[in-house]
Amino acid sequence: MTHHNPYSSGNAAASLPVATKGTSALAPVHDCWNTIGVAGNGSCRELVRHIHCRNCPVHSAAAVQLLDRPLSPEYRREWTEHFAREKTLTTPARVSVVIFRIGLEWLSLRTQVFQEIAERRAMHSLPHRRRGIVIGLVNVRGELLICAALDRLLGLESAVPAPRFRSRTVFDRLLVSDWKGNRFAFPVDEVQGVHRLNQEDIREAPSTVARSASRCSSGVFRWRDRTIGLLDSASLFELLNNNLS
Amino acid sequence: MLFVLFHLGPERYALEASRVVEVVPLLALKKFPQSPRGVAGMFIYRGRPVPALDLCELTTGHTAAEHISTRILIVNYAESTERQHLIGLIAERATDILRRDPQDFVEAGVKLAAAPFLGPVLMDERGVIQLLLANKLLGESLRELVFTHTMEATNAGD
Repeated sequence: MTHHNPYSSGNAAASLPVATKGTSALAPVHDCWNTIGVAGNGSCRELVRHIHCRNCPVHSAAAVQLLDRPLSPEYRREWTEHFAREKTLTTPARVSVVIFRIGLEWLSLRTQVFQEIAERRAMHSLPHRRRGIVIGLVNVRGELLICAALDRLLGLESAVPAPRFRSRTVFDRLLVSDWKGNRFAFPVDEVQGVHRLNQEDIREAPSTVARSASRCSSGVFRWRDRTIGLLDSASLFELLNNNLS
Repeated sequence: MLFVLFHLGPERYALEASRVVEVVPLLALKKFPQSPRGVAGMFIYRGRPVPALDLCELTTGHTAAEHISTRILIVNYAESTERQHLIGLIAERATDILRRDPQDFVEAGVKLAAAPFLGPVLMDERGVIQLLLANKLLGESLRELVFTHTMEATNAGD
């Protein structure tokens, strides 16, 4: 760099190119931004209008001039290889899911079916309803919602008992869902939050994992070092509605 | 309407942006021996061969300067949108775009039989910009030459 820049350590100066001489046979770049512009003494009268040199046509013209340099063979070869390859498109259709844990099972449901992830709260039990899918009623923002046990619905509760002492303390949550106007709440032991994945990341569930949940399962995917089961929203809520009575 | 601006020698030209598929740097070209004036060669674009036409050579007689600002405008030459007939147009200083009403372009008053691709013109504070008619760029003989070659190559790849 041939030009002395008194503010070269500043951020404003760092973003501005310093004219380098001798790169081409073209006229040298007149780097007024380093003398009378924002990286210089700021005395340029055009600054009143443009505020910053990057908005000034003189600056953009200089940038275009920098592009009028000869092509290096490496530059040309690199781009030739790049454009010769097929364009790889990353599929924009991304699936958003909420990952949660019930007992030892890591499950997920499409984010769209959830309205809220709430704190666990007092449950109002219903008489003669202690063994079924419906655990009771909960008050969510002044509305009483049916609270359903997903583990009983999916037949997961026969699995190894969950480490209650850990989950009771910090992680347990109430997932509030809305499926076509029917709102339900599910207590879960832990919520990992919203996760995005591509459709091709979702694989078919192995038969050992599926168990009785198989008809609600729409596949599995890897998340960190775990395999997460993705539940099919439509069949899950259909199964739930059929088991309410 | 959006136009891509570029230079051919000292003159400024514009091309309808809707015809441009992509603007890529001046890639390494495979040259054809004894090719007619303006045919710069071919390059592989996204896995298929595309002929390159040097607009500078076609209009000014000089080959385009090998600068970073010299770029290849990849244009779909096909009349229908289902098929793609891509052609690369090499243009100097292709660094700018322009948004203007197509009505702002007026007839240049001169029609050159040798250059039917030169369209109407527009004035701005820096001078005259001439519209390039992409569909008139290739004369019948050049079109046949350019496309039979690449179409054979495409068919061979199928």
